[in-house]
Amino acid sequence: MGRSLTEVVQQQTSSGGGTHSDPWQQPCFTVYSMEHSNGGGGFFSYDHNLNCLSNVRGSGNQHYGSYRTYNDQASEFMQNYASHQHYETTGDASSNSERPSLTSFCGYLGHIQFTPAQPNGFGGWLRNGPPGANRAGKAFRDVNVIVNEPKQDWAWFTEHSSGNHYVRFTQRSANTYYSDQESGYGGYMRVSCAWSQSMYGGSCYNKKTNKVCFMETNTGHVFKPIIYSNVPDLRAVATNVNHYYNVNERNDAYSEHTTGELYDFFNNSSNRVAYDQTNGKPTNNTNEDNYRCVTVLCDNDRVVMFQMIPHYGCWTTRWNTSGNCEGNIWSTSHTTSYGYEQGNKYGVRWQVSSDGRFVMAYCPSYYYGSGLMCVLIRVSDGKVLYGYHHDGTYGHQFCPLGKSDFLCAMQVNTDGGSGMYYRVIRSQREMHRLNDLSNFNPRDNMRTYMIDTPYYSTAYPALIPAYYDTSLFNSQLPDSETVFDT
Amino acid sequence: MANKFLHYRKNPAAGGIYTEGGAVLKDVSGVVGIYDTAAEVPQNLDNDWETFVTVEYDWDPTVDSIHNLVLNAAGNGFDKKWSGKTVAEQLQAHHDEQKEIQFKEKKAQLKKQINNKASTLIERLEGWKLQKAEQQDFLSGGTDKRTAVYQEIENIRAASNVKQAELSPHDPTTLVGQNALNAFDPHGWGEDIQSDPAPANTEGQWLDTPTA
Repeated sequence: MGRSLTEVVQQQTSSGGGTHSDPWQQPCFTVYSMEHSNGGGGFFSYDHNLNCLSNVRGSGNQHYGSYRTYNDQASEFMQNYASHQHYETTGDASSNSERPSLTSFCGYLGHIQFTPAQPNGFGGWLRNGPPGANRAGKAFRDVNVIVNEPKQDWAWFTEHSSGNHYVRFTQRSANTYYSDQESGYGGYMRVSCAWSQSMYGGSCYNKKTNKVCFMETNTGHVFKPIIYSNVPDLRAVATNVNHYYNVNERNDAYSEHTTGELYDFFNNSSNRVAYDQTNGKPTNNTNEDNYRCVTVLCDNDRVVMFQMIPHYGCWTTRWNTSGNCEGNIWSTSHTTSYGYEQGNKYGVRWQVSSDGRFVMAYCPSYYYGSGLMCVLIRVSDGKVLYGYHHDGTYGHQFCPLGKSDFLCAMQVNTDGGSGMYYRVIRSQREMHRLNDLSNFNPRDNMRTYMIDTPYYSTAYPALIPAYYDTSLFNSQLPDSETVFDT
Repeated sequence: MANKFLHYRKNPAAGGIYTEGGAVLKDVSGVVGIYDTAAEVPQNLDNDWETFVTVEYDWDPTVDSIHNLVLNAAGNGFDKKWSGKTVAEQLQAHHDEQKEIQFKEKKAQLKKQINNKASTLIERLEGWKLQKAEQQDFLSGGTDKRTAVYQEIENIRAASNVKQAELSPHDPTTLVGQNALNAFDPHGWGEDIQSDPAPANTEGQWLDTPTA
């Protein structure tokens, strides 16, 4: 089978006109807070050194000539939604379904309510109101994990459709995914399930091992990983948005969803093996824990699956290198919570480190988006650390930081100048100091007064993860593994 | 069953609590973590607003949901918020409580939106239109132009008050009031400024019965 894809070498440019040679000076995240009446608000962007890159701030009432955020005359800001809780940050996450600080609103595609900061640090910016967030939510629901990918400028998505996965390979954009997904005919490739039925997201591509794991459900809350080997370079497919490569062009149409080498590859049973089905799941509750999960296919062929179980909590399972399921390796229960069955913008999320070697999978523990339950997974071997905070008040939001790390923001009231509460989670250190299946406690050492927020008084800010050139963290930094090599 | 270490957040001394008319609307105290060992409890946390206490406690989740646990006066154990209720009943009671809070917050936001709209409309009149009236009155030696603008402003205040009066009776603690608040449009009054009401959001609505 030919897989002679050519990856186009691209220039590394920023929209600011320069070229980033220092990976640390790229945007990492944006802090957003807003009060629509007198206070105003805006967007403060930070780089991977946690230094401010740019700020956009609008003033509130009674400021002619200023950049206004205020009500119906806020032409530059959210006119139709002025004073709505969707963009106000004056209330905490708690049991609310719309506030920007919700745990479930951040993931690999950024923040559900905002487009992410650009390479020059500007932004993010708004999606328009609840409809925009709900639409972006489809992409957050369906996006699959990518590991060991040095250049994370692409995404792939799986949509549930009975016995077929509807798979799309595109750029890393919730906005373009929504257009494709809603077009009615556009862009998906059909992959027949090997065992039972497909899921929303729940799959994983390991760039280093050239393997893909599709997770399947039997629709009765039992799951089975299906592993494909010798998978072609999916980034090349995605960045060219072409899963029909090596198809002869002709005047007559082809069957859109069932044509091409990639289709042939994924629908050839000789390319895949099935692992054991799950056992030990604590309880079965909703569609979220029947049709969604976060899956990590590790370098040693272990598979780790993290799943939110609304109204219970979450659980984690793992398959060993022989494909045997280890059962429930960590779970925690709390109280009422909601997954995508209450709207696509809710449920489990994930982030991957810039080097692709660590995955943070997480979900809220309380209602739509407060509290935190998470696992940190080392891709090389499937070691798992967990953390949780059953907080009924504050959202917790993650983004990748630096080469291998993550930043966890706890969205506490910033009034008085404390700024955004944050903690840097050093992935390699945590893996070094703790045993497998230990609590790394992301709330430890939460810090204040270092990251400013756009609105000074009562505010529970949002963290908007940025898009940046992840490959610079892999190409521009010395390899610490070889420093003693001669 | 081995004792657990319950991490409990006290209500903050100041800030961080949503208030309405000076009254505290939201109680954010409660158990925020259950751990097998004291070492697992979050350590070394910067926090401007809140204090925490860790209580070693023989917690039976089949008897008490975490929402049922209220720190006792001595700070070393828990009183029960709802005595005699099953866990499912406790969850329902908590859910109902949260729902009320949500609708109180919603009502407060609607009130603010009406005021914001009034402020916007008045601000427009206080700009070029009032300046023009002042200039015209200066030239004519009269007051009628200014009076007309002042009257327009006063009409906006009156219309705003009417809208506030429409909002005021809706009781956020009753189902009828909650439905009315969901349907309430804080716009649709005053000068036509071509502002469309925000589209209704049909997702993320409250479920009336939480699943335990």
